[in-house]
Amino acid sequence: MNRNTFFFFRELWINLSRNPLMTAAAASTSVISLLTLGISLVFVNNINRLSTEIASQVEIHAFMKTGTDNYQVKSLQDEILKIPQVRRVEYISPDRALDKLQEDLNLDLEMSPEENPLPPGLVIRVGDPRQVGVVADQVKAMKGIDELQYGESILQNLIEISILVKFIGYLMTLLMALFALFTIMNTIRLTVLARKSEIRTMQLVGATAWFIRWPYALEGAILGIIGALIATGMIAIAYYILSGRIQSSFPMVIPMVEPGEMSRRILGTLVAAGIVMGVAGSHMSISRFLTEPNK
Amino acid sequence: MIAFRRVHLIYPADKVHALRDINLEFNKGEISFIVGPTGCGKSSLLKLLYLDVMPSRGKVTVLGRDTYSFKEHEIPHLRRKIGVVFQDFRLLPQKTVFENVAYPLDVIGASRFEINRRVPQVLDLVGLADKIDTLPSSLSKGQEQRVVIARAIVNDPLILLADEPTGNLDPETSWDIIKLLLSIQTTRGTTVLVASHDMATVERSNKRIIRIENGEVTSDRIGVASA
Repeated sequence: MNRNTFFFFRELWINLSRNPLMTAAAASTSVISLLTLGISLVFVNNINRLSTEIASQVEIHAFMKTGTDNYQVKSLQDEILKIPQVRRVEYISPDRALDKLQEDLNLDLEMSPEENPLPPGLVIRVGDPRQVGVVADQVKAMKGIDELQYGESILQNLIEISILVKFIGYLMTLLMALFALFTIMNTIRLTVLARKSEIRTMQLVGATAWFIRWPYALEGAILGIIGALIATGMIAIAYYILSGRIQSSFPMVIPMVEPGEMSRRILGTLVAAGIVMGVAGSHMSISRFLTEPNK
Repeated sequence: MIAFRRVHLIYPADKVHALRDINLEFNKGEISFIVGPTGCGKSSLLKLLYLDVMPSRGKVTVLGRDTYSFKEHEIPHLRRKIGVVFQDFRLLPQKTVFENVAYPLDVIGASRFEINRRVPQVLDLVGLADKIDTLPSSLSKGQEQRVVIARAIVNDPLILLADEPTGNLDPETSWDIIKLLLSIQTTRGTTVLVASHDMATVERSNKRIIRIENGEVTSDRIGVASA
């Protein structure tokens, strides 16, 4: 470790440990700011999860003419799979379709395969739900396809709602990030202001601007990391309890991001945000005190 | 070494004309006392030398260079060659006596070994070897003053500026401090400028005494030793 690095970390330790009240106040502000940012990230992550879930359930049901043979089914399946947006194609035979219908409607019909009026079908899954219309048009034009069903109007509404909700989520996160940046910067500005005279003394005994800046930048980063760790811990515990309750009450209705995965995602983002905000805050706050007269 | 040529200083904030037409020269290794009543401009004269303020008119030369010629990144390097005993001490309150005195050495990147050797030496010289781990808040005014002197001399500066170094001390301790400054000047060849309003102590030194009143030099003479 070079001499200056050792000195900067020692300075950091002195500043944090010999100003316990100031450190506690700055760390609390950092926790609260990052907590609000973290909560909005929880929403955004779950909204994304929900829209992915919705997207994965969007299906096109293509019905073939009655009496289509296996060879024709196979070639249609291959042709559909060549469409780049298509993720999966599943064949539903008339027998399987009848079984499912009986199961859904709770019926027990005595019917031979020859009497089965249902046509053979294909269930097509598309990667991006916004491309469903495009895929449907191409499939409809294929020879051997009799009819298509994919809930066009519902799908359009779902897509629009999910885009709007995502947009609101991202906007909220951006606002929370700005709020956190503003609050953390102001707190650091206050701690720097309290040491304005010390900073001038350091300059007058020959310290360069960077020599003075470094310990403050490290302090900002450490306060950001402390804030991020505590905020993530609090969110992780609350999310574990709440998501457990929501999942047990509405298991199929609301798909949620698993708590461990959520903690990992938030931890990374909040630590990065905490460091950036702390360092930027200290850098901006201290700059105005480092200018020499008439320079 | 140091020169003032037709120097005026007006503080822009309150338009106070702190110094008027100052013309002075100080040679290498010389010790001089600047005396005068409170607010006469003694501190301002010293501040011009460590670039805490810049002259409104005229030219100040330090170590052979016009102070206006220093670029911002060169200023710290100049200050490392000038030790300052500030009137208001300017000790770093969160640092111990040792850490305060070591700061100018940290700034120049001195090794731990060098710092651990040098700091106790100067603290011993100012009589504070037993206060090494004390915070400034637990020191008396006189002790704080000595810590500031120790910090000012720890890296062997070429110029030592002392602003009221005996301001808070009794006459005998004041004379001890003046003797210390005199010994630094003679043993290390340091150029020393001392601002003081304590005429009795200054006269005992038998050195150059410059009197300033209302921002103007009113006399420049050699002190008369009476003790």
